[in-house]
Amino acid sequence: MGTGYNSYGAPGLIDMPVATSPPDAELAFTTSSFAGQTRNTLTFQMTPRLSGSFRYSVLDDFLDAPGGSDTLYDRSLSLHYRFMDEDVAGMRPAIAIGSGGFTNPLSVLGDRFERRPDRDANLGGEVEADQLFRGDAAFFGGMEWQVTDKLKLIAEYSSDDYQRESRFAFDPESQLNFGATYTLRPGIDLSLRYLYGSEIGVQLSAALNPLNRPYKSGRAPAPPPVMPQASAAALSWGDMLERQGSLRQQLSDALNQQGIRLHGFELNQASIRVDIENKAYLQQAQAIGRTARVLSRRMPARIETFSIVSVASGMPVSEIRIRRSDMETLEHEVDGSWQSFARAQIASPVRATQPVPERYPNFDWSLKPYLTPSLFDPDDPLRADVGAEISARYEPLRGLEFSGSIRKKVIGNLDEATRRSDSVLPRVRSDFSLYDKEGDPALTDLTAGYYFKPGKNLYGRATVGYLERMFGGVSTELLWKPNDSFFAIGIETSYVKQRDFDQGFGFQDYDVVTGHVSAYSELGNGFHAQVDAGRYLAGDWGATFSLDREFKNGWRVGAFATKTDVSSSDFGEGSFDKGIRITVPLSWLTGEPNRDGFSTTIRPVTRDGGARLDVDGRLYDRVRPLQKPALQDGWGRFWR
Amino acid sequence: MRSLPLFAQRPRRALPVLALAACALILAFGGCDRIGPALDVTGKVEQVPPRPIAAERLRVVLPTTGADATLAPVSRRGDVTVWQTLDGITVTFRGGVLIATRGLGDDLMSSDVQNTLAMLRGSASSQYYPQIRSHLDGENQTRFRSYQCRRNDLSVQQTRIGTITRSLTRVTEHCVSPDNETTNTYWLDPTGTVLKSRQWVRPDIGYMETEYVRR
Repeated sequence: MGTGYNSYGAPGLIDMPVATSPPDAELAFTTSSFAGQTRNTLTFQMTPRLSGSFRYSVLDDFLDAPGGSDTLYDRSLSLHYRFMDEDVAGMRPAIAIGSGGFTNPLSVLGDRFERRPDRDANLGGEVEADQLFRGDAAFFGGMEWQVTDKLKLIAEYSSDDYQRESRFAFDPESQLNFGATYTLRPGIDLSLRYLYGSEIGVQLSAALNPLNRPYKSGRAPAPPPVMPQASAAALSWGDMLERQGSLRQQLSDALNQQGIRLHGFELNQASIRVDIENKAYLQQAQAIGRTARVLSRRMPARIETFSIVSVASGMPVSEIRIRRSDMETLEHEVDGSWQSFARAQIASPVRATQPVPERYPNFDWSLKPYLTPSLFDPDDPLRADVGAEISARYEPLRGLEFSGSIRKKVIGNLDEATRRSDSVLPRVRSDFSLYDKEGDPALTDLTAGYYFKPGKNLYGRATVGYLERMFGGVSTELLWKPNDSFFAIGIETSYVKQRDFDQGFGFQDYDVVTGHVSAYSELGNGFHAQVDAGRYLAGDWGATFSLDREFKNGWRVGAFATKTDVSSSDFGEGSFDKGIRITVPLSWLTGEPNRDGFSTTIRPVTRDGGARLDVDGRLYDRVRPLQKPALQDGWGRFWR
Repeated sequence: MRSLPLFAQRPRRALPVLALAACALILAFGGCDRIGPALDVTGKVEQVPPRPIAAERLRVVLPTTGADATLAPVSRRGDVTVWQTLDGITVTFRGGVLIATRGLGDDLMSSDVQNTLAMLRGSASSQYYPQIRSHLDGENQTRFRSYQCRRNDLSVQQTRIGTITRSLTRVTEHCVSPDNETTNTYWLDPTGTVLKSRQWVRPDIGYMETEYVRR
């Protein structure tokens, strides 16, 4: 029987947790309501045993709520860890441990462990360790009966007497809860409950799993078949020197059809080097595989070795050398994927080739819709703007990019926010509602960026202009990332000035020198850790810790927290900056080759401490997908 | 219409008029059409038209989806032939046995069918032999699945290929994997060439019917 989600959105029955876990990597959104309490929860099964939940609760008729209102809004995080499994014979039970909340901004909810020390209505955001394992132990339990494939009946005995809430919202008359859960579609459950002898509850949960990609190998058109070298020999290659131009042009056209742009071309006696830019595929390995196939069809028979260099922002990042004969012998091999990876030589190229003449200068533009939600404002917890964004990019020569974007709102209510910042720090982020209100249309960014590779494993960036919606200035970055390394280190220094609220060309008075030393590490099993230590926009010093689980299909789910020398009381609500972030690749949804995705960062509250400059084009994200570990992860697509 | 025999059966699912027109046009020249459900909302890779390397064609029917297409050979090396539709889908056969698909959704990435080929040549009369197939999982990792197969039945039948009725050897092969049981059927001419077949692709597509069209 599958593990369901309780009213807190955690693995559980009705109001109580269970000691089993949903499948690894399951991501579930749950909304549940009873007795004037609405809980919206996002739960992610981070590892097979550990799950984390972010919860946003609205409690009506809560007379103790601060600020005179009788509605309480609460954001909380909780964890669920299953440390022992049921044994095969069913003699030893599964055991899990859960925490009711590292809560924020107020901690009054969901105490599974009764009668803890009194809690202060505080700023929240801090782990209240004295609340853990306190209070009387209590028994709770329940039964589930899977009646049909779609219908499940649940009965439970709850240990929660709703001591805090009962004075206002409801009086528990019984500790027995009953529920029925109906599966509308796979992953989508609707539940009706009768709780505590007096209340009716309803819950909807929607779960999906990034591991279960709807279109597994994707819906991209088939790659061109490899052409045997012998067939290529049959084609006549007369005066090669003279024909080199047209050969390059043909190759460029053939690669373009595959969503690959030719950046460099160097034909030698028995080998060819092509520098490519991948415009289509999330996995660079797929772009390399298709390039090698195209080369097998286009190159004269004397060419024995293909050297394919992946280029990012004009920087040659990695070089893959493939023997032409391997393309032929392995194309239809049952284990061709691994065999071709094992035989490919992957290195970091030192030398750059001359860009092909048609590559620079280059201009492109795009018009896209945008959606910017704003969550958790107590006046209106869900606001959003929808509009159009026009972006343009001009690349006059290798490594140099001019780019800019303008947004025009079409409809939305972000400008209705009336809460103004009460921050005692420089208001580097907390004035966001003024930017929302006045920035229509907004010049979101207008920059000149220069990318260069000063050493074999070094990458550099300098960006000047209107870097992001709130700051403009100069930003420089240097990254050290060897090709086959799971570790990288970078340094970024910026001098920025705060932009006017209308996001035109003007600046305000506030300026700051900000910068970080960043350490990036792949921990294995798809986990990526990052530490950024340095000076933040408000002039505060500290560090950001991030942990992401990255799936090999492009999904990312992660969390971050920043602690700086700003005290909790100066920081204000939330005590320190933190949030969760999710990236969903478009190719996962549609099955079509595409490098774009939807990314969102959910912060319980936006304050000024621990705020980092949001400059585009950070090097780690541009370099890493082209290097050996990422190539290996995606090599299954080499022949796709 | 010279190419009418290639389209003895009409596609069972209505295709958009434009696609049909394009089909007819290409049919007149090459004789190859579509089997994939085109979505192409965000696609950045072109469906490169097939460049046939020989005159023969392969008719492919997917009964569960209603697709009915005539494919052109675009690559041949040893006993492996790659056939392509107009909409950029390829199916690859080794000695008439399916070994790969591309662009058909959850693609068959590769297969080891040496034992099936040996069986079709007449060896290994009733012994079980392994067959290996690989797919990509949701994280782009290669997953191998092993089947245990054996020859089930062998008979000589009068079989219609296109408009001609011939005497062909019909061989059925029964394969078992932990997940499913499938039966592949091959019709061979006296030289051992597979002229017609019904072969398992994967659960959501089921079987693929092929028929060799000589021109």
